[in-house]
Amino acid sequence: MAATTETTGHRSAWRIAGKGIPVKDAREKVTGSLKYAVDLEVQGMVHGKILRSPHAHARIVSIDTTRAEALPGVLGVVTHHDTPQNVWENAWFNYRGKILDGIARFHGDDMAAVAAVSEDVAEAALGLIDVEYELLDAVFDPEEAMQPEAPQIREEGNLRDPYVVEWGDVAKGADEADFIVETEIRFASQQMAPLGRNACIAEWNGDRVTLWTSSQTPSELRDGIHEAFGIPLSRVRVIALPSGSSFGNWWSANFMLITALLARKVRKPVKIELSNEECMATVKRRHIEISRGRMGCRNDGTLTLAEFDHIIDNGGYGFKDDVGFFCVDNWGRAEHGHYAIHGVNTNLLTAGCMRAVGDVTLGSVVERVADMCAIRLGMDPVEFRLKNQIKPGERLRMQHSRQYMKGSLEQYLEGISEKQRQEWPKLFHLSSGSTDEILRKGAEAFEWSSKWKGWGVPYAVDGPRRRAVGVGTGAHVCGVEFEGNVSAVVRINPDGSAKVHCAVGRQGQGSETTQAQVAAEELGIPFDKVEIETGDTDSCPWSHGSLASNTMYRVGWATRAAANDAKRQLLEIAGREFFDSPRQELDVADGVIYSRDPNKRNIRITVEEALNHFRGTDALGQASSITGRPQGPMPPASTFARHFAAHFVDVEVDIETGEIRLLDFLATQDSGTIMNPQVMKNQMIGGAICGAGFAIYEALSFDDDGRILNANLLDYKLLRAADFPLRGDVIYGDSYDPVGPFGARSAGEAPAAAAGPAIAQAVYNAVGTWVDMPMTPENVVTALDALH
Amino acid sequence: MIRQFDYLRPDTVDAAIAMKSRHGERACYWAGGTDLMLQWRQGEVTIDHCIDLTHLNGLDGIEALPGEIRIGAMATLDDLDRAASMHPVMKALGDTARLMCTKQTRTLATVGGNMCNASPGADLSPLFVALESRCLIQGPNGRRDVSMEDFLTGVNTTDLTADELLRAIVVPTPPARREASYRRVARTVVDIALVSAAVSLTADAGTITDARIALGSVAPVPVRVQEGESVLAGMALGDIDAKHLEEAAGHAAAVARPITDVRAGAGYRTRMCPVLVRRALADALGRLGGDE
Repeated sequence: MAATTETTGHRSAWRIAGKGIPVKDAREKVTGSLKYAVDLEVQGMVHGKILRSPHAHARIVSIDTTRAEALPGVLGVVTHHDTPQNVWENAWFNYRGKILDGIARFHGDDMAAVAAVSEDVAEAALGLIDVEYELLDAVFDPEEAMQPEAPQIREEGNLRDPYVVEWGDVAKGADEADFIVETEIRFASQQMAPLGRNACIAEWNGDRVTLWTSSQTPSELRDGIHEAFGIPLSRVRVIALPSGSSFGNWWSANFMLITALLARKVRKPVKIELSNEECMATVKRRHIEISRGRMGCRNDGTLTLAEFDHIIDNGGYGFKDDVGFFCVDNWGRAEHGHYAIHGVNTNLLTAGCMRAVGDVTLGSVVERVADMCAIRLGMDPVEFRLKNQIKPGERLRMQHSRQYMKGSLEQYLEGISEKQRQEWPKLFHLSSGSTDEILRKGAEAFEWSSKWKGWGVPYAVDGPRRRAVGVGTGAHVCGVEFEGNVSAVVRINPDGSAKVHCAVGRQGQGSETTQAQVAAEELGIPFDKVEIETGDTDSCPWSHGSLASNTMYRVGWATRAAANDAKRQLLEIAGREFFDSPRQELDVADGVIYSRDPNKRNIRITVEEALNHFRGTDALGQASSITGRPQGPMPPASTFARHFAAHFVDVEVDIETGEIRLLDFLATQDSGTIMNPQVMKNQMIGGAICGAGFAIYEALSFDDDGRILNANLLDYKLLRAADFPLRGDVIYGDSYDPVGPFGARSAGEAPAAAAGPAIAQAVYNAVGTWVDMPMTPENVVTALDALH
Repeated sequence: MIRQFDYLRPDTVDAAIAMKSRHGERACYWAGGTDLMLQWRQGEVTIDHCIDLTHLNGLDGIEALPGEIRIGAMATLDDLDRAASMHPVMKALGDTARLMCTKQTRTLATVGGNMCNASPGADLSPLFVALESRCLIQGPNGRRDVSMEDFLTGVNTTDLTADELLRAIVVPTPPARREASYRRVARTVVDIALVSAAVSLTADAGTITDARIALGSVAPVPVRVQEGESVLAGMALGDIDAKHLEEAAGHAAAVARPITDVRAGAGYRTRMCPVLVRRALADALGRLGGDE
């Protein structure tokens, strides 16, 4: 399946796609019976604990485990001396390193681990491991870490090659501008702050290993085990359990590999269960990002230039050289542009992709600078966005793909047939959707034009309280193809039920429901006859997992293609056995196979009847399990697909205390077809709260030794439901994607990117100055002081 | 390292105190457990014996007595919220209780436990100080009472000796009209105060007869703003204008001794003291004048 000729007009015929069906696991979740990794136990299991570095940068000179091993109940200890020294990589370079190599690169880094009969014994044994460290100079500031004389944290050096996107001619863009504005922002690090903890159980049977853990990237974890242990992929089985809210935290994590290492050493299943603090202080976080940039603009409001230099700190083990910075595309109408991204390691907790990576941070800077242009012009921010943001068919500037190509575009496309390419959308051009429609619809529903009183002008003043509105936009990708093609398997069983196998994990965003909807709609069978496996790598083909907004667009495409392939096989059989028709004349609706031929209207065979027909006589074995899979590669999504959000917010700022309250919040979204409006609304509001939390409160706090001071939910402040205004509806754009399943695109990340800029702008309008994030009461007061 | 404790369940207050006397410092009373459980799990306290107070008679309940309201130490924060209409002084306490933690936690956490935990950031303690509250204490040798100001002695420390138990907190209800108010800066809806202020104003025949101002989260224990209090004491209600409130509140910054921590900077905390005092005074004053 490639590009489709379907349009929005097809939506009325759907029975399952686009419907607000309750999530499949609602009952399990509400009753608490859904099993996450922390809930799971296996027979004969013992417990592991990890010894953590008390230093931000140090080398183990000697490690003596004798006393720990002598403690009754201890089964074994692993150190870097009994660890394979292979490098493993997490998806998108979110981790690159060995499981244990005797060097601490951040405070709390994994140094050794103990397996024992209970957690308490394991923890007691940690205190009996005698370690002598050689302290190494540490560096915490990303800009200092970029200097050649800085302590080097990795053998590859601290600094990655810059990732550069450029078009046009920056000097020309500056010449063509009537004015240029610029700014610099330093962002604090956001923590995914998962509400649930994670655990991993590993068990070896001979030379094969099985891991149970909560992960949104089962395939990538399987690959990591393969790399780290140097064993064939066929000997690794990952069973990914639901993770609950993850936001990027629960991909692969080194503690999972340590669990496998311990289990191999003690020849028993081992479970490592992380504490709340370990979940927040030893796995991952959003990068600290520093951005400097400028935009040039004509007096008529046309942007001529965008030039940004952006630094991301990778912490100890991140290896990222790019941020998926799709704000570049969203604001890419300027004819001249230059963006450079510099990844650099620091002796802080590893940083990696968190929800809307890059677009939350760089996106906020780009929106701020764009707003500064609009302020110069006195132009309405909605209008300025309508004028300068990308429309369908226009060029994408963020040619992510090209950075990864070994040669020219032509070489990249080698092996792809001309016919297939013709079915694809035009590469490096936006295929569908934009902010245009949602900005217009949102502004109308929000009554923007009556609430917006001009730049820096509140609409209401009540003593020290100022009320004002703001608008912000965000964009993100719809999955990226460079780490592998996505696939899915759909099996139709002889009883007419079907099972989808796709390795997307379950991080609470409802993919077990929406993927099943895609399959059920394509197969033409009732939704409750479709079940889904999202975590077992022995049954699911490779998938990138639920990251980079991959799930609905790319996995959904694969699920639909697999269902289509299974249906083709089913109709082949039905055509031959019952209709005496070619399969092209047949279709399935509500589990009943029928013919479009008017003369065969009276033949109606259920899927179950069709397949049971062979029971006991299926000499060719063709009906016992129909297995469908995509019959070709998915078009390269990163070269044409994006999703968009526009948020409208009403805030109240207390200029004496600096407190910000959100009074009203309207989320609008362009994601093509909305597969399930109930699930989608949850995603949109969740994304907005994530972005709003980053804008107002969320920030990891590090001490002078790089230790995290607020790895707990008491002092790491997440917005709660009652902090967020309740508005019933999310407004959706009506675009129809030419590639995604039933016209759907991705959804989950742009909302996290749009909320911050909207709030920052509303605060600007309330108090007349920009406040850097997090806009805590104290930071608001400080910014107001600077104004006077 | 292997953490466990003995669970003890006394039948009477006397039995509880006897257990505490017998087992000493590493025996803990279990009231609501909402602080204790966390502290124990995080290794901040070591417990050998846990003495469960939750089944004892006579420590819970909120009672209106002549001239005072007696809040049993085992009354929950939720009880405090629900007792708000009992008396004007209880309104501020109820309003404040409702700011604390979540409904679920409020049904477990006790008022006495909150005071005995003696967090510098506790919401209720500055308000109890402003309301002239006293603590009723029982030990092996009998009962005594002490003002809330003297009960709280430092960060997580109180005037209680190792074998004493807090029975109740008594809030006076003078015959004259008294209104109290509490203001704080916090981050999200579920947070502890970054900085707070509590005031109580008592008026008789249109004149302020007593003014009390206390700050929270700016020192190990609540801090009285006595110079601010004396600005208002003796003034006729009708004479008090915004300037007087500003002047009274202005004295707050001088007595605050905050620290800088992960929640807020000392400078910010100090600066917020006069703002919060002024707002709390205006609120209490508004209610004092309102019905007369």
